[in-house]
Amino acid sequence: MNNRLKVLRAERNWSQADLADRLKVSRQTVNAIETGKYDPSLPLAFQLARLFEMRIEDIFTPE
Amino acid sequence: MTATRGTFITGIVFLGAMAGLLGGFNLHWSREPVFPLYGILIDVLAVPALIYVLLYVRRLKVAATDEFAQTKKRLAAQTGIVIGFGLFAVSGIVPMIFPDAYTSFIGTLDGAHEGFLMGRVLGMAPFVLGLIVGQVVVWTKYR
Repeated sequence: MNNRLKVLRAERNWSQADLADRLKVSRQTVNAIETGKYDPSLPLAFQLARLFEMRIEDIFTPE
Repeated sequence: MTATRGTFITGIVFLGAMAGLLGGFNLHWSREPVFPLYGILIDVLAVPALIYVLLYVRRLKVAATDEFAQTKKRLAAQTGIVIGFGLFAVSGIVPMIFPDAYTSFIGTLDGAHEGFLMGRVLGMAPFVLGLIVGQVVVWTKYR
C-alpha cells in the first residue's frame, strides 16, 4: 500500500512525533506506515483521514 | 494508546507485589500445623481481587501499546510457536535417523534423574529457540 503520509505531514511542518501524538500511537508506528512497512488498521486509517481532512483513498492507494 | 507505559509498569509492579505477598503468606500458613481460618478468609477475599487486578493490568497493557507494537508481538509469538513445533518435531526424528548416536548419548546419562532433566531441557529448547527466531523475524521485517 502506497501512501502520502510523509508529504501531508511535511506540508503541515509536523514531525513524526507530532503526528504520533495527535494519533495517540508511537512514533515507530508512524515511521512504519510512512515507509510502507506496515498498513494501518481501518480505525487508524479513518483517524488519519479525519486528521488530514481527506478521504482514506486520498491518503492511501493500492500498489 | 490511551494509557502511558508508566501506568502499565506500575500496574505490573502492584500485581507482582500482591501475588507475591499472597503466595508468601499462603506458603507460611501451609507450613503451620493447621491452615488458619483467617488465612482462608483472606484468600477468599484476595483471590477475586487478584483476578480483578490481573484483568485490569491486561486492559492497561492493551491501552499502553499501539496496534503496530501488538502486530509485531503477535507475529513474533506466531512465528515462535510454529518454529518451536517444527524444531520439536525435527528433534523427535533424530533418534530414528541416528540410532547409534542416540543410543550412545543415552548411555552417557547418569541414571533416570539425569535423563528426566535432559528430557525437560531438550523438550523446552526448541520452543525457546523458536521464540528467539520469532523476535529475529520481526526485527528483520520491521527494522
